[in-house]
Amino acid sequence: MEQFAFLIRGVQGLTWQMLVMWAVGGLLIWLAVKKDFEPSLLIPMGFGAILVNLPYTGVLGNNGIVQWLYHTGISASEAMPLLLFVGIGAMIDFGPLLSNPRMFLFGGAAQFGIFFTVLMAVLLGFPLKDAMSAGVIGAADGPTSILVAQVLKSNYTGAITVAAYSYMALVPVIQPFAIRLVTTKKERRIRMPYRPESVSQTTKILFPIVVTLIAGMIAPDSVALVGFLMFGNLIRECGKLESLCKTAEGPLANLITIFLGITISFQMQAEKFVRWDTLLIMALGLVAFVFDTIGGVLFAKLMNLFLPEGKKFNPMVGAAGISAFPMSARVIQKMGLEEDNQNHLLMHAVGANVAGQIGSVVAGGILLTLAKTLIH
Amino acid sequence: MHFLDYQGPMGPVTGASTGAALQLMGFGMLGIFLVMVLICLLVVVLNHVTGKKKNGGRKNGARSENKGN
Repeated sequence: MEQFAFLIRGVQGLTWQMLVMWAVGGLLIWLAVKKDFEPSLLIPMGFGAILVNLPYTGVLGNNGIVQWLYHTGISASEAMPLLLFVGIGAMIDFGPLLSNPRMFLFGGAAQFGIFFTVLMAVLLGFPLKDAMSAGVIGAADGPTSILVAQVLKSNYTGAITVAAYSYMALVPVIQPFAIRLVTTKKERRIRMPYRPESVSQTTKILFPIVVTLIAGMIAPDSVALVGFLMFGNLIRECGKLESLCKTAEGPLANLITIFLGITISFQMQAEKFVRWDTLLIMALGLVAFVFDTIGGVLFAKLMNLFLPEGKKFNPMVGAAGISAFPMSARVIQKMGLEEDNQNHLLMHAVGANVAGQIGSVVAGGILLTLAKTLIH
Repeated sequence: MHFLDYQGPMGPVTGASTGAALQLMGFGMLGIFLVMVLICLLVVVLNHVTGKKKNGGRKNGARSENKGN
């Protein structure tokens, strides 16, 4: 009978934690397929969670492909999220933001949830590196979350990634709740006429270069994040690299996306994931999203104290300063029309939302820069 | 700040760690606002200096789908 022992070795090696991770993987796939929750990441992550949680799985270990992808593509130099940023930069049109530059301020204000969550995590007893990694979920930006957690050597990279992408998909649920907590109906009905400035092609070309210089001088650790995002945007806006732009936003982004999700699942091994502290990290991520929204809204209300009637911000536009593009802008547009069916906030919200893309990568870089002085 | 020391559910919390988190919050938000305000001012200057030419580059439009972000 011993010669048949190999047939049951896998079953004998199964633990209840692995079964839980199979269920988590199945849930992610279900959310992606049935609810359209970020399918490009949740399907690879869900399937990867199953792959790495099979007993004696061949995708881990020295010859394991997932382990190799993780060490080469993420652990060594965070290559995968950075290369994905080239593709994302090539997809972004900063025009609505450049024509309405005051929206930049909301891209900054709506990162408040990151730092608030770091404080909350520290008050719960998490070490600062894990607290910062939990806070960065509030960047609402998958590659930034992965990169910061990885550089800080957080123990929760898998959970952080799952949380970041899941909450991004839940923005239509999270943001209206948070906005209604801190605004009145009268404030939500404030009208904002859209009078954009013209934007020259020269501005669009200089913009990515200038942003990289400024962000890099103030937060040097943001250069990789900001630089690769802006590099992709420069490819798009220079007008001379049409085929490279199409490659960046198409095949490059798709290839990296295919492998990024399955690679991140390396951090979804049962012994690292099925723990109370992992659940708490994911809950803190939700706090980060809520307080990002509240931070943006309250900043708009603060600005309104100094603005005359007719020039006030609709505070909901502040909430669009998170990086979840374009979902957040659509949520704000929808909420604006619900309050006043003549109040179209979309282009303001798109400007703030795009500013949030810059704000989130700058926030990630600032976290990494400050980590060097604060973490000993 | 030893009066802030206590045992949290995930580990010990000290005045030093709370202070570091508050420092991070202060400097972090300051840093982000500094960057965003500088970029905003620069864009205003660029828009002014480069004039009101029509955009002749790539067609405007939002991203067609989210790719990992």
